[in-house]
Amino acid sequence: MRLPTSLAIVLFVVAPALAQESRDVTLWLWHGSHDLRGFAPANGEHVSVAYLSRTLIIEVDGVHVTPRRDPIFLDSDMVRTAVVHMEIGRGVDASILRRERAAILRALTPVFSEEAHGIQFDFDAPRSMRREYETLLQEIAEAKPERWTFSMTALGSWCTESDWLAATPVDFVVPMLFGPGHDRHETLAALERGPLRQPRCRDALGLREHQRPPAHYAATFFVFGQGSWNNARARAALESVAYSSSSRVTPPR
Amino acid sequence: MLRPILLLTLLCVALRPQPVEACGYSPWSEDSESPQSALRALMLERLPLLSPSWHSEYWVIAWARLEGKEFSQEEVDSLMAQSWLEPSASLAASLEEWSQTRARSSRETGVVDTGAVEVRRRGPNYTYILMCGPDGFRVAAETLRARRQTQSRHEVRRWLTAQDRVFAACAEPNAPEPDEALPGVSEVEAHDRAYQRAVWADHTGHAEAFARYQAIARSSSPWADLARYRSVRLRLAGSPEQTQILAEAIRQTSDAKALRGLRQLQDRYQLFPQGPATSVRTLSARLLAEDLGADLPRTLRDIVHFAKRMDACTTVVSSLVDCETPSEDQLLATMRRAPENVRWAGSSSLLALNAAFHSARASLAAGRRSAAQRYARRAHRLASSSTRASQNAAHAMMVMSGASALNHLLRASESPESRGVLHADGRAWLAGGTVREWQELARRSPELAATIDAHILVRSVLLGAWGRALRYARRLSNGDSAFGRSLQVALASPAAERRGLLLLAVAHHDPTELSITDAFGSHWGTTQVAGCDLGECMDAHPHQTAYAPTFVRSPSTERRRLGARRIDDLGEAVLAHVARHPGSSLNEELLHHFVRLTRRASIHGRTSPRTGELSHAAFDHLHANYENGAWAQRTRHWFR
Repeated sequence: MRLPTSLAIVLFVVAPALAQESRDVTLWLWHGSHDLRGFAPANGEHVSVAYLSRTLIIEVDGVHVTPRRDPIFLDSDMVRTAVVHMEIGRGVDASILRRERAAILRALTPVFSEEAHGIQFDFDAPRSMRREYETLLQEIAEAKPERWTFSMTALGSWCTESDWLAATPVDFVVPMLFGPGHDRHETLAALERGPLRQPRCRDALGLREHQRPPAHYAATFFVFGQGSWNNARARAALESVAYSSSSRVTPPR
Repeated sequence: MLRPILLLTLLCVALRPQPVEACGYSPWSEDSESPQSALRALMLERLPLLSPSWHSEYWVIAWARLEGKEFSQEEVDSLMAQSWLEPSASLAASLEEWSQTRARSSRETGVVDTGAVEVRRRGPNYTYILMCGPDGFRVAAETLRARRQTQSRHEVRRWLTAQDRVFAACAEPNAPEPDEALPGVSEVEAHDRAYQRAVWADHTGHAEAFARYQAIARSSSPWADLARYRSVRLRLAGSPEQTQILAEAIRQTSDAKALRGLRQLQDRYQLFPQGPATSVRTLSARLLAEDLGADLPRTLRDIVHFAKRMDACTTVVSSLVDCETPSEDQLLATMRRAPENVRWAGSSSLLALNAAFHSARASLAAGRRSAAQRYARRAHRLASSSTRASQNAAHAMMVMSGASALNHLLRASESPESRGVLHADGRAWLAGGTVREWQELARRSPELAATIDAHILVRSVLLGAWGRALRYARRLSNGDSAFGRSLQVALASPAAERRGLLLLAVAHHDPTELSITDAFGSHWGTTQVAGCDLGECMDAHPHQTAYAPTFVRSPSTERRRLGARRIDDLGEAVLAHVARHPGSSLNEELLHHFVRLTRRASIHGRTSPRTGELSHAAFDHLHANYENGAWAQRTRHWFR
């Protein structure tokens, strides 16, 4: 059925305004207890969560695992990503990371049986460990459940200065625009000039709660809360990251 | 006439009750990297005033000391060797010990891949629960070594097969059950198997776990004591209505001493309602197993005693939830409505004491200082006719609520051994203190005066309270130190430069270790204060208690204006000064020294997310405006 011309004109004018209301937000659920039961996204909103599943600390003597202790309460239909945060202790170099890769993968095995739809790896890899980190990411990609999405967080400089992310097997990268040492200013400045150099970094952006994204930036916004999430705070976070875009990119779910 | 009076007086003096020193005020200076020395001091020396956020094991030892236990050198050494201060390392070490012992015991089995042993059970809502701790693996390794000496190869293999199933149940609730002992096996094997099956049932949440433990507890099994402890632990970790179940559990031991202890336990249990689950899970099983052989009621008192320390908000009455603080009358009324409370509470004064404790703790948790002090004083009055444990707890509550904090701190600092040091609680108290309180403390403790004066000066500079800053600068400028000389220069300078020079003196010399600790120096008291530090809360560790405020203070207006990290306050002050005085010759040096301090802060982990931003801003300003200057060239990095 052909649309009447007047209707088509109206839709053409109205559609961008409708697109302005579309929001794709993932809430990072870190330490503490979070309760998002009954959270009802508005029309056009896609809200999911990325919860800290466990922390791995690579020490000289091995991998120390701290699984999550604080409960999270979600509705069954909330899309969720399990986040694994990794740190390295004093004296750990690339050779130790290489040695502990098998132990790291073993520590991830329980994560793969959690009720999640994806896994995200959070590690501020030093430059000297990038090669080992790439190998680890490849092994995680092979070990994870096939239907799970795979993402990673990134320092801003990884997305603006170098191309090493190009070889990583992740579905998308989340450059973090908050916190010291994340090259926030440089990344923001780069965003003002145009899309980030590394194409994998263009689908998502990591923000702190109440931090507004760059204007007209279309991505999934990952929001790091400053405490325990609840429905009211989640609603406020969505309002903060409202954006308008005529060409919204939807990351894989 | 005088003679009888004199004799009576002498008699009274001779017979007067000795003062009961509930907690000895023995501060000590503690190397921040050596918690072991604090532990050793706790076992051998005078008791310090303990921080509620310490490891629960410290409380075990403290309570044992309060009850008159003297730790032998052997006990000290064994407890010092037990690395439960670093639980993750302890778990790895115990797993490794188990793996190696197991490998040596059976040719058919190789070394267990300790990385593949999952000791945590998936709990509800994305959580994980530690089911098998270090003690379990150590006890298993010790047992296996002992059995290898006395049993046949087949018996050892059967034991090992059963034990593997016990450990498989740590993570997997559907792990197969160890087989029952074969008919005709030795008594030792039969006892071992019964205990393994009981532990398996415990791990898998089997309904028969309690009954199995109880059967072992009533027998002549070498596991009887441990089984009795685990049965009580099982019950205490379960549903809230513990009193009747606990009574039955202890009654079944047919132990008259235990029954007497039960009545005492009910007294304390009523006083400190609920919440032992957390503490029970973290207590050292080894320490308690040793105690169990001696005194079950005392051990159970331990459990309850820790309960009152561990939970910031507990309730035995189901209508009181979410740390709400009802009025004391409401609390009493609610408790009286619960028949089980009244039946074995015995007296309304006990209920009133219970209510006062609960209200004090809830007020502490909610930060309501005046209310906490009021309830703590009330509990202290009511406890005067109660048991010593109640008096001790009331005393501690008084201190925690700040009702008598200053006196305790002064007494601590007056000790000849102190040499001007303070324990962790004192440090935490002082960090939130007002200037008036600091001044009072300095007046009464000359050893602390210089340090407190430096803190007052720093706080005044950071807040821009220049009048007070100048007064204290004059006081501190008499010294021969580099800091004192900097202050002399500042005081001798024209007024327009004085503020900048004071700021520079603080940034350059860091007299109160701004970047390393946010309190009175890492060399003061212990560093066992974990959890929340000036508003930033760390995630609770399984072996650490949830944070409870050490001292509740009336909010200091000055403290509220300052941030979570003084290094951040300094950064804000420096940047503000530089912006207001763009032509000042001090700016380059100020910016450099601030950035240098952020490096130290970064190394010692004393930064906040804001610190990096400030460091970067100072770095940028220095290089943008003074690019060719010597200070800019010396400032090559910023830090987070």
